[in-house]
Amino acid sequence: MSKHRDITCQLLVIGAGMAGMAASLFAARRGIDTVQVGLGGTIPFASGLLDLLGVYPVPAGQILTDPWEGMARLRRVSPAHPYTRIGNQDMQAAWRQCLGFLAEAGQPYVSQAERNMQVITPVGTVKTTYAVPHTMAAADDALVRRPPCLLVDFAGLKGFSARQIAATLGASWPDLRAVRLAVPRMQGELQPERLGRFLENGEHCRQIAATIHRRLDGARAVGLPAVVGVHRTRPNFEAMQQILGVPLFEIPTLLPSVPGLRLRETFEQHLPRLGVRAWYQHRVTAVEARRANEFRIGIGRDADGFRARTQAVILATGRFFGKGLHADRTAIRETLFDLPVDQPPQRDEWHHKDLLHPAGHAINRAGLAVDDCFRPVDVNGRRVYARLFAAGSILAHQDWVREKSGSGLAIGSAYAAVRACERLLG
Amino acid sequence: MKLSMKTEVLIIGGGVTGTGLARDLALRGIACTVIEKKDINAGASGGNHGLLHSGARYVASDPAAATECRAEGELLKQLAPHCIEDTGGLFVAVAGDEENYIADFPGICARSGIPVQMLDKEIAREMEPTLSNRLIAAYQVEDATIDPFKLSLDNMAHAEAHGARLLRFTAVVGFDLANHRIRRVTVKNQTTGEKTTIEADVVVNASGAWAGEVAALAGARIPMVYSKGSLLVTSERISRRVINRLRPPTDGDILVPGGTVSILGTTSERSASPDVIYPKIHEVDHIIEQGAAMVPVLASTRYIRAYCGVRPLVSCEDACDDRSVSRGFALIDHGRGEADIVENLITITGGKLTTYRLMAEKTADLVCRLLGSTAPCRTRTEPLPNMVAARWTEPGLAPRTWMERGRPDDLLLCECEMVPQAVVDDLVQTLNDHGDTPGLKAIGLRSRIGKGPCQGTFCSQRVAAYLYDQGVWHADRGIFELQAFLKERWRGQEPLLWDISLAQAELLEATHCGVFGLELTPSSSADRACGRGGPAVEIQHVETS
Amino acid sequence: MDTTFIAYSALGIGLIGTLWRIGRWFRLPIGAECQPPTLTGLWSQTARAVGRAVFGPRVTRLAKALVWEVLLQGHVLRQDWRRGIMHLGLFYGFFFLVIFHALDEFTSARLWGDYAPTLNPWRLLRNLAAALILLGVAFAALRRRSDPLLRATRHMADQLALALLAIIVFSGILLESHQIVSPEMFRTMVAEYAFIEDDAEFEALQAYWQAEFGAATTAPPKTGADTLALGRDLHADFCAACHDGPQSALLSYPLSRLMKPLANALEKANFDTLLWHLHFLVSCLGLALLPFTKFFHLVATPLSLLVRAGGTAADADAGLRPVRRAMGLDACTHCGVCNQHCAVAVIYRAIPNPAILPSEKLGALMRWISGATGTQCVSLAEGSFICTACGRCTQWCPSGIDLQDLWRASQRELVQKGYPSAHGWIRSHRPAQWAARAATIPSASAKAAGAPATLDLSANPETFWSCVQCTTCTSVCPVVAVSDDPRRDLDLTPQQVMNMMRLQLRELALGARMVWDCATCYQCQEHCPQGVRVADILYELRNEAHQRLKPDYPLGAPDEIVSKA
Repeated sequence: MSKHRDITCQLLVIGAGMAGMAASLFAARRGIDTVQVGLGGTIPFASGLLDLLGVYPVPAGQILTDPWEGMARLRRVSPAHPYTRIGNQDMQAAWRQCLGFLAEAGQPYVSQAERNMQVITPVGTVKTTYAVPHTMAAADDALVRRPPCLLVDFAGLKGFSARQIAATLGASWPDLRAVRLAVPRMQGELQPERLGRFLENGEHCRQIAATIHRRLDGARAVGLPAVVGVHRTRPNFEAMQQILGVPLFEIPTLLPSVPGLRLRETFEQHLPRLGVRAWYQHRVTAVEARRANEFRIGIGRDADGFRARTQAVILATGRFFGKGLHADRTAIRETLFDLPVDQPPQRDEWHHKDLLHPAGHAINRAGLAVDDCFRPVDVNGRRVYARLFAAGSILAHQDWVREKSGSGLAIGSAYAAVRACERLLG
Repeated sequence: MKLSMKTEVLIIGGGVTGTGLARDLALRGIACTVIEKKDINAGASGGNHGLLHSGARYVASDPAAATECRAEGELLKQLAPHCIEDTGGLFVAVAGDEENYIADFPGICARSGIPVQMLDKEIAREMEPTLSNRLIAAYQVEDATIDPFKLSLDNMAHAEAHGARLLRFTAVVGFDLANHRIRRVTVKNQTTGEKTTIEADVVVNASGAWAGEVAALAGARIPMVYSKGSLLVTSERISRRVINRLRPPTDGDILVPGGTVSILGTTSERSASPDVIYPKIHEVDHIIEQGAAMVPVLASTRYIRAYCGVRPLVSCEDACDDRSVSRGFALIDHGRGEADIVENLITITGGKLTTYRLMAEKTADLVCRLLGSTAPCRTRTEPLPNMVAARWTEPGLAPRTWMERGRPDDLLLCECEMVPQAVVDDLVQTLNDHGDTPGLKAIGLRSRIGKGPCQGTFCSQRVAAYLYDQGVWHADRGIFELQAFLKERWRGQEPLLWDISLAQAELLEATHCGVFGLELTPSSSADRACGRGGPAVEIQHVETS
Repeated sequence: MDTTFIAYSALGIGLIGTLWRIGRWFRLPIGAECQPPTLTGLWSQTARAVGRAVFGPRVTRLAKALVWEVLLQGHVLRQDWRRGIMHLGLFYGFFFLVIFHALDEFTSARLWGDYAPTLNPWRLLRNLAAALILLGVAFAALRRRSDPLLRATRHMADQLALALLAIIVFSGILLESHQIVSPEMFRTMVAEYAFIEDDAEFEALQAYWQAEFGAATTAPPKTGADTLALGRDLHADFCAACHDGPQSALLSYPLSRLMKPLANALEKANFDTLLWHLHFLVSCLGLALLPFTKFFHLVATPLSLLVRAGGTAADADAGLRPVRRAMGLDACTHCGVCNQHCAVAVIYRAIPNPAILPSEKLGALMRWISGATGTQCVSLAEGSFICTACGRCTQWCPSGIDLQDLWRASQRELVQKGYPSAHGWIRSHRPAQWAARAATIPSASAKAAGAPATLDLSANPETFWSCVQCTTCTSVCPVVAVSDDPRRDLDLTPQQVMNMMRLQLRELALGARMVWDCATCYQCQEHCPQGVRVADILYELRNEAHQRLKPDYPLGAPDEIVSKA
């Protein structure tokens, strides 16, 4: 490691997923000198929808209309759930700041105060979520009123069939039609990201909108795959809506998704402007805890790199896909600090034999147990490091996939961790 | 309930024995119908190594079976070469293995007429570099691998070409007996729930592990032992040849290449029923541990699937170890004997994949005797044709064909195994010819779709969307199909979820539960599975000015 | 043999050779743009172009080029003033000696009535010129030794030219220094030009010459003031009109001091005759060889510089471009400046094919134009297509050769004659066809020993274990992004190449254009959430394909795909 490039900071956020991004945002807003490091590849593997709490209790598969009400019940029943450690006020403040940031950055999200929203998925199911990109807001209303609606898809976009959605929803939504368009000048396979970049061009969007308009045939709403631009989504989407004259909404595609990509690129571009020193596409190569309040973290693309000296760390490295956790045949480990992982005693208990079992899989509730300051604790409940915090899906006692709580968990725990960190840094 | 059809011979079970028998009878000019409660090779025919035994494995425990294996193996290599990869095989022992067995091995093989050749340890490791450096002995044998799915599909397709019929998703629910004869067989369509009856002169129970249950419906008793064997599929091919452990047959001692992967097995575990079986975690760990002693890389390689089958063994009274129960087959004429006489019912069960043809031949001989036919067996001499309907199970064929054709609009639906739309079209056509609208599982069975590392994460929905677009599916069938397909894939993934496979599973769950909410959506009613959606979707062009 | 005859023969050969070489520019033009040109057509076009240049608005540029580039060699000076000065010295020293020394009968003697080569300033100037040439030669020789790239590309032709020059100049200097000391020469001159009455006078003159002019004597000379005074008078009477003191011979005089002790011995050996013949014959040889050696650049390079200044980019001159290219080949002085600035010269270190370097490529091209075949063409093709068309060779060439244009044209011709680039030949067949060919050639990774370590990546199944089939590599690929139809343009996407490897169908990927068109930007590798080394694998495959699939040249008539490449 070359010494002259070593850096110092108050807080190092490890991870560039939703929790890492949110933690950096909150820390920067509070004036904490923050460095962020992480591979930014995982946000596009989220749908770009921001969940808070969609299902509770999980085994009953009860879909929540009001996430706050569900959360209140959850806190009564599950003392170990991360949500129990985040107050409603903090949670609301976290969302306000996060959505405010996205709106300022030109990617506004839409949410209802005390109600979950709904969107259509590419398999024709209805997904309950909390905040949706402005491009998907009209789906919520369309799902309530079910007006005559035209669903559009693009030839070459694999795994997205407007006809499938129309057929699947058809029983309860009578006038749902499908049309397939050939994207001008593009042939063969179209990955969502390629299509998204193609539709950065407003002219392309207008041409497509004009063609859809000619085929409306009485439709009072239009849905199309979530590929309308990456950065210029807002103007292009508004232009399309204007041409169409009826509500337009995007439908998520298979992953990696364009709305996820928009989120990632928005964070990556704007966080440095708020003062976050970001090292995206870099990984942590070594960690060393010096005394109680100093960590030395190696950062690099490969073995060579530099070192960051920091007073506090927020660990937002995700689960197995994000590589925050790793499992071999015998046990689950935390990959950077080798923190104690709360987990089922044996591999037999990790997964249910039925993929879709209503209770979900036990391994998904494994992770880092934390104290009220979101600091990882050992089996006896003692915190491991005074200034090491954890946020996001790496936390134990939650099942974000089944609860539909991924973003809420990321944003809420990041907020709580940053607050605790600020207190401790003094 | 209505009388749906008549046939000379009704074969219950669409495994390799049933389809082999159908072909044998059809070639003798005897009309037959195969009914299968699930799909081709749903039982042990689909839950095995795909190993064409040289016989060397059974030389000590069952010399008769060993000799049969050798003869049938040689015959199949000539008659069905397209189903077989003549890999050759090795028997290897590592430090600590039983020395007496090693010493006796060549002698016993010679007695059964099984050709073996002793190899220098270094040469063996040169031939198979993944072998352990703790090798103490190695013999070369004439093992080969066989694609059991292709074998059954080819047998059935050839039988159908000679007038036989196949009814998939059709289960026997009862026999109508009179004067110790089966007058009618009541069957139920597993998809629609509709019941019909079939009249047949002779009924052959070729239901493998379910032979006891089926026979019981006719009041006949067969003492069955259910021995479950679990196997693991690695993500890549570990060895060029079949590698057997040179010791008395036990767990985790055979590694069989299968196209682009290798299959490690097996275990032997008593099971109370042939129906609800899963490969278990401890079995997986045990197989890996045993296999790694022979081929160390098995301890660290990526596994993509675990599966199991139930060996249909007819027990003898004092059997203790299931491996010592005869692997030779049981051909039971229920018209003979003292009790439970059913004159026109035959049961054929037990046996091995390698001897399936012999089993079919012997059964067909008995059927002919009952029917008074003298038609001779033709499967001993007539090659098994390479039927078009069965070709897409071959690994690598789809991408090779796709590249050769080079059609720009032929998109890959399964990226892992590189299966394009054209293959799905082909399979839809084949299944349509059977009067079915194909589901994901049926397509998966007949191709490599879903068999790669993603195990259905992406390809399931890509194929679903394509089938809607092609007008094959309608209504909300996709939900039900995705759920069924993913659950079926999950059975094989669940015991193997550590390391990278766990990350893959997380992505799968995040997609199908997190975004699609498949766990929250009730399965649709079965009738949606039938009927067609209409013509293929039309592409509209965007006007550019 | 009659020296005049020899001299005129040499001149004749030189002239005819020069005309022949200039004729070649028109007979063997390179890379016809339009229809195949006729010889007369080219001549008339040339005449028109020259007319346009001389009588058109570009004449000022032409004049500037003549003065600044041809006469002052400003382009060399600007690049490297030391080399510029040296070359200028060499050039003007050479011209001075040719015109005012070799041809003094026709020049100096006629211009200046009292001209005598032994008078100053002639003697001084001649020596100066020789010194400049020798310095230039030494500098050039040193330069070629010190620069590793130049050392690697040293040619016999370069050595020959320098050696010829050195021999001519050095033999001349030796001759002069010998003549300074030669007693025989003194005797002959005295016998011819001086009216000496007796031995005393002869001795006096000799003593004077010995003292003042450094001449040698056979017998020890007399000394004494009287004798010297007599000698001075005699000298003034008979010698002074044609002889200035030899001390002004910067090179010869010091050399003559060294030779003086040996003067008698050399005399006996007929050294002067020998030297004179050497000097004369080598000079004639140089003249005769002028069109066939590097010396021809004396003709071609100034012309090339003038044509560059006077030529137009207009279509009118397009037909002449092939001629200009052929002229460019001859204008090369093999100075090696292009190599020093070539963007891909470093590749030469890895692939020792000299045709990668512009100067050597030019040589190979010359041989190809003259009808070379076989491996020479293959290596020319390889060298030609490694070029990145950065244009620095043209920018730096002191001879004003449009090398970039030359490469473009020769690449075109190479493709047409069945020697396409690797990208070109890979496009001549589809990946499935390459796979069939590859099946007959063992993979480098299959070789137990000597397999390059770089192939370990794609042949190792572990490389692909972590792939979760997420399509990120394809989504972020700029090469995929710029294609309207990646399947048509690239055969496979990056993800599909990875899966081909995983499915052990590597042969099918070798000829895929994705592998060949990869820009090595590493977006895929940096964005892969699972750390698969996608770009490294593509790179590895391309190397393997290049190694395994090389076709048999020439490929035959280029089909549609090849010509697109």
